[in-house]
Amino acid sequence: MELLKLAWGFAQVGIGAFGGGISTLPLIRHILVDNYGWLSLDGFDQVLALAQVTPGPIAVNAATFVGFQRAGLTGATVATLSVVVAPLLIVIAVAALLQCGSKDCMDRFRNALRPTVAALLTLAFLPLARTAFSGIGTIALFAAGIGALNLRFFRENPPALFLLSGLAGLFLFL
Amino acid sequence: MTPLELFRMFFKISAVTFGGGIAILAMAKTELRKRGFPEEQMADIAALATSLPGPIATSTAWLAGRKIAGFPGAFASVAGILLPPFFAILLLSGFVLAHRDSALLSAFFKGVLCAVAALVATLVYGEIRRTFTGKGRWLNLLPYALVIALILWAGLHPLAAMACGVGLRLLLPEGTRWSC
Repeated sequence: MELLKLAWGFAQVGIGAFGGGISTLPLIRHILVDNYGWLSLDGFDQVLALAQVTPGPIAVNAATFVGFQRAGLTGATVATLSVVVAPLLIVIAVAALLQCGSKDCMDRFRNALRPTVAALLTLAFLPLARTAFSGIGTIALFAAGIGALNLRFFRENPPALFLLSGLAGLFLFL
Repeated sequence: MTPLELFRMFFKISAVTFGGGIAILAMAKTELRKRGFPEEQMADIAALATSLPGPIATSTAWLAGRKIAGFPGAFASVAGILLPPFFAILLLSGFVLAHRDSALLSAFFKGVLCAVAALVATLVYGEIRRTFTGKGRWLNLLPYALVIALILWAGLHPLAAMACGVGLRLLLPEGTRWSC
């Protein structure tokens, strides 16, 4: 039963994952925290932080973590495959349809998606802003992060910045 | 390329590329170009992977693997993308679950989240600038506001809100298109 729930929950995450990892966060939060209660809000933040310092798409990282937490290795495998296989079926179908043209249709859809992705990104930022503006120390780290992202090195290697900021957190928040 | 070579290439890309699907797509472009993969096919794959649902990294791997070595190639490529993050999280999740209440770990994660907030802030800024500047693009404000209102205030399932946002934009007159 738990495995079926994991499969269905993460299939929804996969099918709604448009526009790159961060814009998927509102959907992941809705399904994992509000719908199924697999994670608390703090737990969600932990998974997000963990996903940012490990390789791989956020949706996949979240699937492996929550799947493992709920049902061990089997759960991790089922959740991870679900988040990937459900959208791949759509990719296969569309790629087959596109053999007979209609590239214009794809372009129109991608353009129509744009404001929605911008809205999802904005929504992804709100809870993060609550954390970042919760005290002087967090505001300082947030500002330092904005400054550091002007440097090419950190723009190309965000996890380096995340790790440094995490280490700074050990001094500021303990 | 054989499926095994595809597996190894995508495994390596996935293990060393942090920073999400777009970064993986860029790495895959570079690596495939080195191996003589035709440029216009790469552009088609990028267009599909970024407009269809699902993690961009796995869609890219599937489509490229399928083109290069059929279904075995597609499966090998997706497996290559998935295994590094899968094992990384498996290794770390036990540790995180055992220490979830430790002050040390929460302080570290809080620090990480401040920097993630900074990154997301710059993404939001860039995305908003791209979405609303240009001829006819002010109309994008309507679906943008609709999606936010539906999720934040109406508490609608994000998938339903997204469908409304895309639907509304398709009904409105089109502005200047973006190339990907």
